[in-house]
Amino acid sequence: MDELSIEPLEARQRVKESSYTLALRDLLGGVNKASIWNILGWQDIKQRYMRSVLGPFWLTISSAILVAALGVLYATLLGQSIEEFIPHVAGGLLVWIFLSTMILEGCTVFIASEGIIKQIRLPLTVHVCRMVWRNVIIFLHNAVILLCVLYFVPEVDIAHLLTIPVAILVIAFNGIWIGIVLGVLCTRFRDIHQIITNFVQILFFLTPIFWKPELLQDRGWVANYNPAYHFIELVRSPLLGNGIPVFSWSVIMLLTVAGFILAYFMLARYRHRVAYWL
Amino acid sequence: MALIEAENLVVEFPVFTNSHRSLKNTLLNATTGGRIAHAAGNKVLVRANDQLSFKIAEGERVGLLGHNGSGKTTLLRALAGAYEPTEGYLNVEGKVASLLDISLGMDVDASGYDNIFLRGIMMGLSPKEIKAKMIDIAEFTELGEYLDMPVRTYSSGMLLRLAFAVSTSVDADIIVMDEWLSVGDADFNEKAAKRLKSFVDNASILVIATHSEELLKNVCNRAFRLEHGQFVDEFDPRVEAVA
Repeated sequence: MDELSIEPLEARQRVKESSYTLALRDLLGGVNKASIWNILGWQDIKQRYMRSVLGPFWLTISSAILVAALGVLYATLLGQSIEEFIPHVAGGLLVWIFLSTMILEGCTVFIASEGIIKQIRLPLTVHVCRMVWRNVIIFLHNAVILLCVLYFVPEVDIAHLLTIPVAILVIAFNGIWIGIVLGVLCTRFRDIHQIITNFVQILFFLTPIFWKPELLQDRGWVANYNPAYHFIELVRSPLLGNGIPVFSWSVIMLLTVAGFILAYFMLARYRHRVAYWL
Repeated sequence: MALIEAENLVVEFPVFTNSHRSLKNTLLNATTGGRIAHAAGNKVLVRANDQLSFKIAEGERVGLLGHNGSGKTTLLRALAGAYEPTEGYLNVEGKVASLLDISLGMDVDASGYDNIFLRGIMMGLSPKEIKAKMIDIAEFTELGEYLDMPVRTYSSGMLLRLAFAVSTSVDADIIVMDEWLSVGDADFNEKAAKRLKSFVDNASILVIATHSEELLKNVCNRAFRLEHGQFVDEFDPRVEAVA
């Protein structure tokens, strides 16, 4: 029994599944495991507001205060009417919070789940979906404010309002590729998180949230080349009764496709390295 | 049907010091040749498992022997699916339960009950199944009302009890374990040993890393010796004494 009992190579070729097949399985399998990310996402919310009386409705209240205070402040500063400005700020700010939180939490999505990743075999996409779902829940709590500000909108178009849920779904969907791409990058290079944090801060001021793109006059490209602006427009334009923003929808559709292609390649190339980088 | 097959399995770790994680150094690395690149990009790769080939069939109880750092735990992690092999082929058929660092991945702010629930969900149980097992798990831990408190208030012994009870509550075909787990004080330990034994008996494959001859002789019917990440010896521990 002293010799090494190494099994002889079998005649049939053992095909190792290609990393692209595995990446696709991770992506689809992860999204499919709704029972897991649903529960984990809710758990995160529950955790955050465990001992408060109002629970997650604190989210709604804090956002409402922010919208009201900043809406009034900036309307005065920029010399605009408050009634007109509040819905503009509400739509912009709430979508911005939704989007920017997904970007920032995307950076730490795998780092935060280190214990689980090293312990339990799950598609990496599950952790990303958990993060996205958590932010969807938060956004839906905030959406109450959007309903309230409709009061200030002179001409409400119900048909256009119905595109808003679709827009939210599309933004959340984009959160998945953002989370995968940034999650992988930031797990490998820990400085990227800091770079993104700074970048998001600057982007906040460059995005028409507290100001209107019309103010830019001939520098309109600042808004037009800014994907965050288009994400916001998907929700804000129909909210304010300005119709469906066809240009923004086209930009976002292109971005979604490009983003998922990028995420897919990142997964195929680096998915199996993430556990080692943690 | 449980089965583990590996061919030329290689697991390699990149070891990062802080400078390797930094983007600046990688960029410098890409843009400058020569001296700086050499200083910045001297990435250390540790080959923890080197060209392992083996086949473990149903009913086998495999012990892994070897010095610290010989690659036992890494191999177990690869079998558990946490680390994907860098090279080579690995096929694990059957549901794997990993008893490595069992208290890892607990949500310290959640209550004991919540943690049982979350862990169960992640291990692939449905909410219904977990609820059915909940009473049994809770009873086993003997933690009583502590289960309603956040896990961060637990002592390390209590945490281990909880983790142990949850980890051993799913049916598994393959169990990977780093040393025979022993949990809690004398009384509890006996109870835990019994539970662990029936957990292992129900599985069709066990792979355990150990330093104990006693354990090897009593539990295993196959043993591999690892050195520097390679198999150097295989023997039947029931027949042969550990060299």
